[in-house]
Amino acid sequence: DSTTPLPSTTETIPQTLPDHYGADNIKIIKIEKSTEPLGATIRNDGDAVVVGRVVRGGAADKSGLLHEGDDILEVNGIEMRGKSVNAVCDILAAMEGTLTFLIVPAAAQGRGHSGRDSVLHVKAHFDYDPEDDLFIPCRELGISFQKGDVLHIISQEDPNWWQAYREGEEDQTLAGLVPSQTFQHQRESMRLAASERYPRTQRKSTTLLCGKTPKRKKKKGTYAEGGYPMYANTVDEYEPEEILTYEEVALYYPRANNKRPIVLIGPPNIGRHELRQRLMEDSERFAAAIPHTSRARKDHEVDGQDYHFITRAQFEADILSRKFVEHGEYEKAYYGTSLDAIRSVVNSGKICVLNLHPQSLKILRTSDLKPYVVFVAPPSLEKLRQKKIRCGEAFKEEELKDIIEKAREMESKYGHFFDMIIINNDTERAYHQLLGEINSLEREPQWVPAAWVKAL
Amino acid sequence: AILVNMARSKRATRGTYSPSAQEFCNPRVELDHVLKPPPEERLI
Repeated sequence: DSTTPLPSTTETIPQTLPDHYGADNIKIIKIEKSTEPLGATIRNDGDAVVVGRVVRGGAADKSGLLHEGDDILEVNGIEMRGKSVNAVCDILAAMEGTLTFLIVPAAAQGRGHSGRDSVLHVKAHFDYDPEDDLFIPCRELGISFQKGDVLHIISQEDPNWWQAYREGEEDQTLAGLVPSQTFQHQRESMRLAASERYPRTQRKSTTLLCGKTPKRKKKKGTYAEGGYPMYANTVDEYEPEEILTYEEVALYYPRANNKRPIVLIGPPNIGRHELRQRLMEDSERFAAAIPHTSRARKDHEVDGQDYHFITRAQFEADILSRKFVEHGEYEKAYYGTSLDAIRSVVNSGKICVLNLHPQSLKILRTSDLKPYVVFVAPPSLEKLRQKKIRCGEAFKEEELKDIIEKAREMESKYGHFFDMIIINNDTERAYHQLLGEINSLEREPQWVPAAWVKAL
Repeated sequence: AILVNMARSKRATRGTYSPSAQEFCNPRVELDHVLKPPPEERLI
């Protein structure tokens, strides 16, 4: 986009200034307007109609003639001062062609479009609907987005309201408004502080309040696919509520010799195991990470093939040095999946498929392994029931409700880490959907945390 | 363009009163000046 004024757009100092405005620095500017808005906002300031902001992509921005704080006196001879912004908005919406503005320019302050060229790419970690936002200065410019959406932030001039385009909608003429990171963080921390002082009775069971919730004891006896209970590295007994805003992302181009591990996350009994098995049938392409264990090797087992057999003392030392993505204890022996085991699959040129507890995502994401995280979600209760009947599996109604509840909890707590969600209503369909996604990972660039790319 | 359609479809007189504000701006919670709803801006 060019900042040079359009040929038909001019700025002049009038010969005879209308003196009834009592201003001695009145300017006349001309901007060509189509049926689209010019791309500036106005606000009332007492009697005055003042430019609130100039929006990227519009005619006003391209002309470079209108600036925040400019006081609009007249447009095409129609007096604006004293009118409400709504009235002005209606009058201008009906205008087309050359618009002649009479303005008192704002005191020039550090103009010249700071950071015009640098775009910040972020992934949203929260849902946002401008219709529900009391604080957005201009609702008609608000962009709604959902957790996981990528936003291209093209202006951070207003510290509270960023101008942005949503990924996939870059062809929009005008940028939109989204809350800035600072503003969102501040707002949420206030909301939390308020709700802590005045706890609502209808609080979701998943919400932890600082210092209000007694430590939750981990339930023993939840079995992971490996047949032994898994506990993640991070002991998740009590975490203050984290405020999620945005995460900076960057494009990662696939590399043939560095395949991203696929991590399947989801509630138990949802079919993650079957999905993983289906993928692993293609053993040329997919492989599992070989787990470590402290139990004794059986005769038919091969070290480094079935398990990495290590001593109990070594295992405990490795836990402490954070070598494990997750680990657990079963019948007095440790079992675990190490970062190195995943890395060696990556180095062999294969795609590592992992079924992990969502708590393991943190350590995996801070590694160099660039995991691709797939959430395997249950369908609706009714569909889940039909699926169980179809597959001839016995079930209790309570179990189904429990699966759905667990999935909901996982999604609300870890949803911002998910790259993809598959609703597993039919294993075959889910498998093909997953495979299709994995295929496209090898061809197309993806948005990943910026830190992953900077570290390359 | 979506934004333009949105702008067109908006009623010109939008109040910013909302009962949920009462919940949010609890009178006993001191809100920073930043968290006062700003003066309404309209797109031209």
